[in-house]
Amino acid sequence: MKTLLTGAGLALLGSLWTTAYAAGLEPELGGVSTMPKPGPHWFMTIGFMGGGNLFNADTGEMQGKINVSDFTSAVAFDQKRGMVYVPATYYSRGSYGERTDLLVFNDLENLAAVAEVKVPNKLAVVFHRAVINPIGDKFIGLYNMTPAMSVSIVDVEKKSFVGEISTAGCGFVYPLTKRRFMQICGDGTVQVIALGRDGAETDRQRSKAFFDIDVDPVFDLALPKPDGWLLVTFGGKVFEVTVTDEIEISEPWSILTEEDAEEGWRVGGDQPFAYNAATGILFTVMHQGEADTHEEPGTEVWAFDFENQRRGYRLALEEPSGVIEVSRDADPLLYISVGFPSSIQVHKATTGRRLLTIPETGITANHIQAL
Amino acid sequence: MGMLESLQFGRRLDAQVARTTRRLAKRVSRRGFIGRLGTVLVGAGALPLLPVTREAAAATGISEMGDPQSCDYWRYCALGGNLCSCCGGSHTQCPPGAELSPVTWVGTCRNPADGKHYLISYNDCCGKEPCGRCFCHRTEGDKPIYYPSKSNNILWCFGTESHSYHCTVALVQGETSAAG
Repeated sequence: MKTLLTGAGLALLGSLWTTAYAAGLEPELGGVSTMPKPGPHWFMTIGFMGGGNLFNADTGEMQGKINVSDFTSAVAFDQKRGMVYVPATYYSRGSYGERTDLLVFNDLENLAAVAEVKVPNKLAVVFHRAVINPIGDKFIGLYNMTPAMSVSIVDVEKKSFVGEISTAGCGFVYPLTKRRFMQICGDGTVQVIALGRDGAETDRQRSKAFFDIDVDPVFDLALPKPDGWLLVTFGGKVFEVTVTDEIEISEPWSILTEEDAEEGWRVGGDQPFAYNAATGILFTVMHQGEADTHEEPGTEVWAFDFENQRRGYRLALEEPSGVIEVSRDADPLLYISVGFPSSIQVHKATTGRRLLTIPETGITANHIQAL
Repeated sequence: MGMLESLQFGRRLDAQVARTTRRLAKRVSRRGFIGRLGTVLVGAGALPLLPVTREAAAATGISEMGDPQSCDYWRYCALGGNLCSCCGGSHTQCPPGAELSPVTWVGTCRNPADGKHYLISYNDCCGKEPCGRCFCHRTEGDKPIYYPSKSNNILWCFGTESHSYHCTVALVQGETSAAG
């Protein structure tokens, strides 16, 4: 039967080909695209019912999709090796069965899995950008929560799990120079851990306490600057954490004037601020509300000249948003996620002027990750 | 980690005075994650069932009023997730086939019926697909993820067979002072 069907199919195809060829048409052949090398204005959206969508904000075109697991909330791009690393948790029967936690290596050109490294079944199930980041030039740090907190280290050159570092009371992986990473701790400090050439811990430092978790905690989202990270409190204070041989914490400044505070303006959202170090512009998502509204979406985006600690412009949003990101380059674009399914509004970051809107970037673009 | 150890994280219980109403935040971490795991009805939020006032059958014997299928129910002051009371369970019982997580985050909520504050544990029910009904997101006293015991942006399916999130219950653990 199979032979007969195959024979009939070939005969039909042959007949069609003959007809098309006779009419002077070359039959089209299907194929598979490869992805160009990502540029500075590329970003990835990740949210529910669809994550890992890659876009070029210069054109508004989707470039491809990275396979992620139901529990993946961020990835790490390694353009030097042409890879994207995806932390993934799978159950053998979908929502139950045997659990397997992996770091999956995807080839950036084909967006296909090419290798995987088994890691302890402890990957944190939190929706956060800093669950994965590179540490030095060949290690990846993965944030674990059971709820005891730790970090798993993977060597991407050897494609092997190196070990687990206990980080009691401190969370996330915020990379620093010299194979180090920073964490935020519940006692109001930050912690810096250094790795040796083999990926094992060699040093650990703790800052002085500079915030009170009960009074005005820092958001768990930190913003990268060349020699450290910026932290913003629920109340709108900005701290600079500079890490050289020691950890220096700056005196804070407030994004709120007295008038802003009287009007009830607050930072809020799920990814409520962004910083472009090349131009020194800090962006915050603002709403008017009471205490404990730190996850409330905003009605405006404010842009600050970081060095002068002054607001440069206010951007009124047509619909509320709690998610923004900015590209890392010296001609930055600001991305704002709005609506359901989410569109990404692309603005010129230095002026606030909208350049384009990219529709249907994901059912909800809960997070935007700049490349 | 067991319940008591988890509660130790919260030894510095904060001084938030719980409010009984709050506009629901939109598109937040835990909500997004839960939704991503299969819920389509984002925006349905707290299903506006007919306003019901009923005496909950509280095993604790405390006097309480309100609708456990409403986000405004007093116990839910720091709850982010789907209400098990809308999913075949109740505000204290997981729906059939789900597994109660023994490790939780906590909130301090004011019971309007007696004016007292209670320590509430929010236990996720796990091992099934997300229920997807009666999504609530209240953040009174909520802390960042690096302070887990008071963060509702974590899927708290720890100590269970599966980390898949289904819904959340709210259990009274004891009376506490508003000042913590």
